[in-house]
Amino acid sequence: MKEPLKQVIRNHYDSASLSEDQLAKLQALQRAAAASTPTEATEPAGASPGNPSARRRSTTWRFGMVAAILVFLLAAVGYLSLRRTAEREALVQSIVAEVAANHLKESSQEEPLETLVALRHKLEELPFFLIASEHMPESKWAFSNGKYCSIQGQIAAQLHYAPIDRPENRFTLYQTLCPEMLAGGRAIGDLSEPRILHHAGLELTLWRERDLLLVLAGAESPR
Amino acid sequence: MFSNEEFQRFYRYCLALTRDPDQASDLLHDGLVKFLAKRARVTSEPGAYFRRILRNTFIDDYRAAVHSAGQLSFDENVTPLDVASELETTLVHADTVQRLLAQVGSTDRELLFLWAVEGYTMAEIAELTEVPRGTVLARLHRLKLRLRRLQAGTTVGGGR
Repeated sequence: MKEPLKQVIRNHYDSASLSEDQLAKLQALQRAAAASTPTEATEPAGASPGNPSARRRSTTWRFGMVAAILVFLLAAVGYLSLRRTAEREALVQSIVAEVAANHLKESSQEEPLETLVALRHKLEELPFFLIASEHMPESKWAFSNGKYCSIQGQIAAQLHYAPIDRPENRFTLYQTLCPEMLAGGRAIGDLSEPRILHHAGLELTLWRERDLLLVLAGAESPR
Repeated sequence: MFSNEEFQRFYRYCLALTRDPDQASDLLHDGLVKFLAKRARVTSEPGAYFRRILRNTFIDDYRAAVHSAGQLSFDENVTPLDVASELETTLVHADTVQRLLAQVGSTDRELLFLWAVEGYTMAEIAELTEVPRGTVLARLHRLKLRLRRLQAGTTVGGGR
């Protein structure tokens, strides 16, 4: 009886097979090799030289993997960026709240000092050098005194100022090292330009200046 | 690790190459030894890789005349679709196929095996065997003619 050529060829080869003994020898050969050779992780399907269909699958698989990795990286970068921004903002808000509370409980009854230089000698334990801020020129601000304090658990200084033209208004300028300069410190963001925030009825201005974080707290706008 | 079913498939491929059961099992064994020594380098799609090793081992160690036919030219008047579809619909007796496989060379047997048993297309066979597609089609066309003569009761010599 005639049959399709393909089927006849299949039948021809299907009728041939290895004996149980031959199969056992081949399996034993495999097991011996597996026991003596550490196997490496297989490459993605299709990396082999033989199968064209598998090679096509491999190309698709690789493009898919690359696309998935890119999407994952973009999502990760976006997530980390958002998280860093949120952390920075949380830190700023925490500093502002602490400074505002500190300012409100201070009575500023220290004996006035003549100069900032005198305060530097008084607060010699500070790990940084007190600065006269560019944003608070002597022509507009009168310095009175200062003392140690802490911000976010780090040693800081609080300096009492009053505007020359309104001496009854009390302002406190806090100076401390920028958080990221401390061991394990968190970044606080750029702040190269003063940033104004409000908390507990106070206006607080934050900025960076010569590696220090400065926060000016007062009941009204200093400008 | 290859299963027994996979070994049977590879054995039939070896048989298509060698035509001799003993040589086929020897080729399978030799190929497996080579594969196991190299598998740390390439083990993905191990079946395809192993078949390639079997083929190369056969060409290197088992076949005396390699590619003696060279690259055949394909008859421009016969389209690829004609050859493939004609063979798909060709009806034959089992003994005719046995006579055909006994007459043709290993290259043609491999071609028929990959086409009929493994189910590859002509383009895939060309890629697997690293010959131009036109050569594969020419061989297939020649096999078709040979088969036709066998069915007509004419013997054709010259198999490799």
